[in-house]
Amino acid sequence: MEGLTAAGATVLGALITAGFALILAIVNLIAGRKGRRSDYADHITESSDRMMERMDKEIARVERKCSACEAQLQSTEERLDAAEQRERGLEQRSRRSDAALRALMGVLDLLPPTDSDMVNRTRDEAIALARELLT
Amino acid sequence: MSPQVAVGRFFDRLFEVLDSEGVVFFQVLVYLHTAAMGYSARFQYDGLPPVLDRGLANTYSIWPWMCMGVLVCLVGKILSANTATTPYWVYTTGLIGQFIGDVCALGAFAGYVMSTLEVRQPGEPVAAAWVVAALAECAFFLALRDVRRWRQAERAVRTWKD
Repeated sequence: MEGLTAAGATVLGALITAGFALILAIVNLIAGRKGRRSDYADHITESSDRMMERMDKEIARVERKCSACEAQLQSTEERLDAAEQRERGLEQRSRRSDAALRALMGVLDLLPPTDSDMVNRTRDEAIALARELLT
Repeated sequence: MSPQVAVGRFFDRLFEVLDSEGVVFFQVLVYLHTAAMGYSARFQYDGLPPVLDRGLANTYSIWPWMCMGVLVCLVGKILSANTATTPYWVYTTGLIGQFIGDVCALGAFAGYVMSTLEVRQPGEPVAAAWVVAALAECAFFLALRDVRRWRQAERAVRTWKD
């Protein structure tokens, strides 16, 4: 059997360290169970529990506020949708009116001038008005 | 619980652990294999490979026990797994247990590397020692982390006390 090699010293060093740690773990187990540190740790847990409770309350408050905001947002969105629908309806109506005016102008253009100045003037005024409305 | 549900939950948990990028899963794998290596060397074959036998010399009988000692780390992990529900003394004992296991792993891996370096002929290449050296470094830093975590827990108690 040879003497202590570097590899042997490494293993032995690790063993001694682990042994010390084992003793520390046993002491920690025995002393820590009913020790003062355990009490302190319990107090820390209690204070952290209180903090968590406060955070929970704050979250609940923000959530309530958030649900009110959500309802407001919902009604605004609904109003916006209704306005958009109205606008679309008006656009369609406007397109139909334009088509009717163009058709009317076409018809008026086709009519030959009459002997009546009043009829001719009325026709010209109607065409001018239709043009104005279309622009 | 039906077998399908159990298998599904197992895979869910497995993928959750894999996605977490934590080291515990891989550490457990390496340590279980290390413990199996020590067990087989001590109880199955009652001997070590020649490189360890010659390199460790007088301390050759310690090495398998060092390998099996890594299991203490896994016990420590279970003890300190849940900081919210476990008592303080159980948590810190778990941390010290992890430290013991990591030091055992460090000793086992570093002992293997040192043995290889001692026994090999000049100019002879080594391969496995590189990998084991990396594992030894990992074990060293894990042991360092255990000490830091223990100190952090102690500091938290001391801060409250003051």
